[in-house]
Amino acid sequence: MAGLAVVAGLMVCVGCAVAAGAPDRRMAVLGVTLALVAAPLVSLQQPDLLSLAFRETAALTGAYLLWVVTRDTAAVPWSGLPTFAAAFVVLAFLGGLALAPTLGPERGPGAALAASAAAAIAALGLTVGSRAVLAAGLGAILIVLAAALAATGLAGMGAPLDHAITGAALLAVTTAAGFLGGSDARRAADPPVP
Amino acid sequence: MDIRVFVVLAIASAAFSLLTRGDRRVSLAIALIGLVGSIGAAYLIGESTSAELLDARLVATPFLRWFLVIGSVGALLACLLALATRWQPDLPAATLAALGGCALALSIDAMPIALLAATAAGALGLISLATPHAEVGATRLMLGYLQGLSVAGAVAIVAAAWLVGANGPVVFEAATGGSAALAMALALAIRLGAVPFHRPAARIVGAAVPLGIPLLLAWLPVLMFLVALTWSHRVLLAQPVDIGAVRVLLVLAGAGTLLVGAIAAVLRPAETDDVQHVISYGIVQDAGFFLLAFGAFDAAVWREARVWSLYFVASKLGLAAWLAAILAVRGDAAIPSLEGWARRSPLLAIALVGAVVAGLGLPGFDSFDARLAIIQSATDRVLRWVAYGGWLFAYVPFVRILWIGLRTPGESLPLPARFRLRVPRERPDWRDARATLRYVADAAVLSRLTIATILTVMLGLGAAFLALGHASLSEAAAILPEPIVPGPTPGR
Repeated sequence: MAGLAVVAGLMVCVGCAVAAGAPDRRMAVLGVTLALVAAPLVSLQQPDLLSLAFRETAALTGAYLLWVVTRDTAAVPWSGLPTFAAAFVVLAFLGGLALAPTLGPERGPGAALAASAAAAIAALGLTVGSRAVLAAGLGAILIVLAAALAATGLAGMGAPLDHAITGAALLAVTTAAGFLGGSDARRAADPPVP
Repeated sequence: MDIRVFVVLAIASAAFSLLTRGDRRVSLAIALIGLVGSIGAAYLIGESTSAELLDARLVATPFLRWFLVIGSVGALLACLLALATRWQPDLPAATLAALGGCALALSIDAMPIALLAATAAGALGLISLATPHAEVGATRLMLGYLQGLSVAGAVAIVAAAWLVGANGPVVFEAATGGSAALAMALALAIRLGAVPFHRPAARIVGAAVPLGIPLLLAWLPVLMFLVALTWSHRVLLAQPVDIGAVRVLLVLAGAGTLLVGAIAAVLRPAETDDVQHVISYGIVQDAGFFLLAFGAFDAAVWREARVWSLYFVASKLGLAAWLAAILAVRGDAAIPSLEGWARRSPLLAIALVGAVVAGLGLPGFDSFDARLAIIQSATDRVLRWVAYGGWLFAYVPFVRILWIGLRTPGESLPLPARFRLRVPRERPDWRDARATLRYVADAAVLSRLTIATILTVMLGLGAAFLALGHASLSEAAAILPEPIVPGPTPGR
């Protein structure tokens, strides 16, 4: 199970890195989607089928909402972060993986803490480094994801109710971010009024 | 009946109401039925019962029952008042979703996940702001609110999880406990809008409908406070560590917020000298009280902090109702334009006094005693006087609003805004269909405003009645939670 958690944590890290260094909105949404989809598997014990199905459905529903609001805005300039920002996300993941054992044996999987660090750095970058509303919204999603992963890594969260509430929280924040980012992107896509 | 019925009913009603939002009437009917059902389900929750939900334990307490009954009744009245004044189609669904989140967050036995549920409820509250074509300014305000609640939730979850290991609470030292307490207080300061994190809380009123304000700025932030308070008593204070330095910092921040918030509510620039900002800065100021209550780290103010959080919410609901009614009657809430409002609408003046008394308190009210106990327990010497000063200052904007409303008769209200229980005198020519329709519409407007006024008085006086103090509420709030100490028993 530890191996699966590390692989899933690595996928979360890749997703966060893609989101942080994305050249456009759609790539950023893709990165966040990857992180959301992989996150349920970063756990002390493998989630039961129902919990996993709920988390994935919530993640994909949220991702679909984000996709819908950004699909017609490919030509709109994206004031995201420079590509090298992704490197900081990877460094945070590696640092988390190295430091997790120092917290003691009574904690959850180290991969969760490492993935949490990666998500937190990506969220910080998107929130502070970009002026786009969608970027800040994606940052909010990643902050909540980082918190959920940290709770898994510190307190071993992983009961079915934990997954249900985590999925619902991420869906709620994703919907809000999609709504806000969508209205901003639509405005940017609209031709200026003469 | 156990807590699961309430949770399922509230969340299912919210979901169905949102799914049917294409047909406004059906969506509204589902939401209103859901709210009425929530009142019944909350009332019938058995006190001190526990239930299993998805392999986790939900514990219903007498205080939770009070919280949900008052929340459901207040939400129903607020939605009806919004219908009669300024409507936001998704307000009932947002309220129901938030109520479901409240029930979960306050009944879950495990601490970090309860804070995540509180964060989810906060994000669901944003549904009440959803409009198809939000303006740039409103979008930025909502984004600031979303970021604030996400960051606050994340910090709180990490702080809670830090002291809770995979097999139960860990043994911690003063530095670890102090850091976690400080992080939790920081999360509360951000979520409640304490100075210097007050900008999103103070400005979101510009994007919210009046009856959405208590949900976004009072009900949902208080939820996080209650969960954090439970965490501090169950986990943090369960081990004998000295966190005196954190306490000093929190008391400083709390007393400072009390004073600065009050000054900001009084000294408004002319362009924002309106009731919305008085209410929002009042909420910012009250964040100082919450910080004091949390920072006391004292079981002696456990009851006071919990009852006052209910009075706070009821008071803000009453104030928001009054704001909605004033906007419906006069069309404007800029304070200089309210000349004579209290003489023209004396029932609304009664509602305002009730709401203010419920929140700020008067001698003889339990809200007054609770605030006094929190200040006396948390502060001493100079900071106590700073806190008293901030509390006293908080009355000033409302005294000013009442004074402006009473000192002159002001201009007479337009016909539709006059509180009369009879239809307009001028009868139309019944053969003229347009004149007849206009006559019926005028009569309907009169009755709509009449209903709005009655609901506002109910909310204002209801808040004051609650703040008088009830023995059963007091007893329910006084029950201390069982501390979780490190031991061989697994569980979070």
